[in-house]
Amino acid sequence: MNLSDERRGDVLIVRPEGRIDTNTSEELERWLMSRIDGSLKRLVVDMSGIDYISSAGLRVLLMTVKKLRGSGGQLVLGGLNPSVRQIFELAGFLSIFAVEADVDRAVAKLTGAAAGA
Amino acid sequence: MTFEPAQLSLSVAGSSSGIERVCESFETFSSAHALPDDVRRSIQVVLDELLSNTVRCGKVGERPLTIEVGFRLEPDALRVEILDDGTPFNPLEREAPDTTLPLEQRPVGGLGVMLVRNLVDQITYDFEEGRNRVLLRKRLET
Repeated sequence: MNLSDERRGDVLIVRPEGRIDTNTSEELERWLMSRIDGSLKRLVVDMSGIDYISSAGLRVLLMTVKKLRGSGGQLVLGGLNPSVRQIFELAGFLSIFAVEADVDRAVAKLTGAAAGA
Repeated sequence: MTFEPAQLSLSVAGSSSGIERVCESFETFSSAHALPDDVRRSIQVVLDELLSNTVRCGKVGERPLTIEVGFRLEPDALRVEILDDGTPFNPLEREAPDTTLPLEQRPVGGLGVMLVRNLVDQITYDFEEGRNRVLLRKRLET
């Protein structure tokens, strides 16, 4: 799995690429947890480079959103492909995660700006 | 010119590197037979859920665990057979988690088997001759 960060103002965008399964989820967990330090309030996970996700990956995202909200932060996910979206739907995750069509809309959701503006 | 056979079977160690090998082999099989993306991704998720369960819970004492996986492509469906010589375990007997609970009450984990049931069209389990066997069928929609 490839992982990278991008800053847009006070929004941190984390971009994992590849698959999120039992073998790769620990790496993603370490990456995300090391970035939630209490001062981070706005996090976007750009899922457009993710081919598929299993429950091991859902577990990491659930932990991330719980930890972030615990310190008053917000998480928005963007760019889920149809298969990833289906997994979120089956797991009932669409009701607990803010999900946007792409990363720009996800950032806009956090900053209150209109997408593409 | 050579053709990939429409079936593939492999035997791997019950370990994370074994799961990795199954995942890579299925990826190659999928491209060779141009399986639709949704079918390929669903099966990858199903394999990860079932095999990681087996590796986590199936080991009997110090004896190494062996997992065999077979894929067979039929005109309208993909069939997958998973055999392991670990502890008898029927994944279908596991209770489905409540996916409507609010965030604060969500258990972390426990979703795997529920995903498996929903991602395939048919699933059966039996324990015969000392081995767990899970059979899956996924329709190829065009």
